Amino acid sequence: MILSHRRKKKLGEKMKKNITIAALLILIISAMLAGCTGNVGTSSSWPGFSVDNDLAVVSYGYQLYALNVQNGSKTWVFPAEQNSKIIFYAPVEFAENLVIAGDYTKNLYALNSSNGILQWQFDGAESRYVASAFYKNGYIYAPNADQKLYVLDQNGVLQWIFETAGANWSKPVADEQYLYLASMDHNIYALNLTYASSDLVAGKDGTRNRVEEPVWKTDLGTAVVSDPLLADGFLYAGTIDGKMFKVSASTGEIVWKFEGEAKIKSIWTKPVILDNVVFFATEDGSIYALNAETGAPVWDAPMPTGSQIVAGGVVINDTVGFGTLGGNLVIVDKDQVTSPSLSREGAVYSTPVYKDGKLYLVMVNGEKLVYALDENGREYWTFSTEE
Amino acid sequence: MWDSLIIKPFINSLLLIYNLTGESFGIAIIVFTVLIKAITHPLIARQIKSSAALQDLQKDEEYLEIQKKYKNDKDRLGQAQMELYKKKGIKPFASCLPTLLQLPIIIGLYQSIIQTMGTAPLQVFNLVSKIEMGLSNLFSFIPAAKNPYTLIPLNNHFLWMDLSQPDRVYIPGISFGIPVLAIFVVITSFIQNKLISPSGGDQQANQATGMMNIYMPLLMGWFAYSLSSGLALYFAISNVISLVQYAVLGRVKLKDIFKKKTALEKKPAK
Repeated sequence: MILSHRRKKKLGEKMKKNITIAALLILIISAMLAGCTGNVGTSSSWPGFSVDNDLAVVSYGYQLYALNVQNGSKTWVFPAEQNSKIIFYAPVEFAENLVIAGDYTKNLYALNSSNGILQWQFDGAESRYVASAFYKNGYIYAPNADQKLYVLDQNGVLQWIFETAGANWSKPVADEQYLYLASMDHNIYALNLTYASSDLVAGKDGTRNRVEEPVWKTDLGTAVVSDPLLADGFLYAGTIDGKMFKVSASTGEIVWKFEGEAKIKSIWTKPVILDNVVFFATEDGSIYALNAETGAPVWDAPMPTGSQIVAGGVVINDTVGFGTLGGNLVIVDKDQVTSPSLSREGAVYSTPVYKDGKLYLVMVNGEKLVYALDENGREYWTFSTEE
Repeated sequence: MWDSLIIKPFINSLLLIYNLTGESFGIAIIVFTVLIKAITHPLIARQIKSSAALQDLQKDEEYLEIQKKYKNDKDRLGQAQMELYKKKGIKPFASCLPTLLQLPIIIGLYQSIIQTMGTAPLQVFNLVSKIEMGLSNLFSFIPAAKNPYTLIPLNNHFLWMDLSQPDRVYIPGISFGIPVLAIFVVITSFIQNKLISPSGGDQQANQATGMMNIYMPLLMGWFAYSLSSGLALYFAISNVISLVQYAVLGRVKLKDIFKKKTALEKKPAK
């Protein structure tokens, strides 16, 4: 069949139209699928925040930002240039003159706290550091999502490893006797602070650096994703099925368990204790106050805040504050008398810090990233990563 | 609304299946995909039958006659076509309605798998906040049924894969990982697209279809290559089940794959 010029032109136009439709369809499908997956790197967690005497460090995304606590000025940034393979969310730990920071790849960095220069790097882990490391008596205890706790000396030399059966997202705590580690394998473990090499066994690689058995372990039934609180010889830990436990630090015995009359939502907050009352909040935004001795509720009913709560509590003089995803810091005392909330644009995911009269709030998706406030909410200084 | 109607029920069903199938998320994805495909099978069957009827009509003498008669009058052509559809008992929109109905289910299934596989704090927070006790209470008579909160974090290891990471198989002597599932997804997507593409259309339509047949499998393969292997597993199983569905409905003729290709490659006559 011989096609006329006009028909050929029409055919070409139609072909173009069909190809455009096909290309559009492919684009729509790819956008739909990509939109569903999200960006794993930058949206998988929330900022970590730690304050020492002179320095506040924010772990957020591709860099650590060390700020002068007096005026919020940037003291140093690590790494100096952003690297898409290095992502920080875990709060840093201060160890003498070092800042210890774990990243989302598998590296633990020790930086000079005064200038941010890298002192050493440990790359022996196999997964991300979600929790902050813990420092005590010259040793760094670094929990990792690869189901291990790595213990290093101040020079970054691996001392020993303790293996759990689940990812470790909680910062360990310690007294003078034991180190306590809460794990997503449902257990809370007590370990010695140090082990002689004769007490260690060989791991899969044949290296004799493994702790075989903890001093004790206690099954809490479900995963622990928040930091436990250690106070007066007892551990307080919340679980993702909404139960709060008080556990003896010396024996691991469960002293009491609070689960409420109605099913309460998961606990992501580190509890705080004030005047013998344990405060914690649940994912649905309710604040609970329990008698630390008995585990009985102090209030008639939990206090609703109207917004989800992830961040741990902060003690501000004789009150307790909980940051919400709605951007408020709800302040309440043990008699359930509330103070005016402090509000800023954005969501509070990171546990606020109150130190030397300054209240530090870290806001996600807000105008500023860090706010240093007085108790009435007046700003000492603010910081955003663009500054 | 979307979360309450689709995502929450899907996530809780996935967790229940995970619980009842030996706590392997890989098996849970497979079983859940099979169940969803089985539930939506009547819709797919209807779609395939309607689509086949429309394709057959294009060879009908009466249809060809109408095309010829009203080739310069689109309004009259449309009217005549509708009358012919009515006469032959064909509902042209019956083939796209089931597709539209399936779309939220497919997107919901896809999103649920992503959310359930989360291994970072924000992802697990979102997952835990969607857990409801209703479904597990309903199946509490099964001894193995556990409180769904106890299942977190999920076991993401299946065969050689960490389902939260992209799939790569490392073979001694080869310096790079082979994306086995991505290759499988490309092949099965290609075959599936070939089978569902309408045949016998005009040259221009065939050009567009040919483009889709090449780029869609590559696009799906790219997703399977770069996203977590749990999603790649879902794509692969979903493709295999679709091929089985076409086979059950008698629409799989392997020779068609090559036959259509020949037609596509054929240059316009001069």
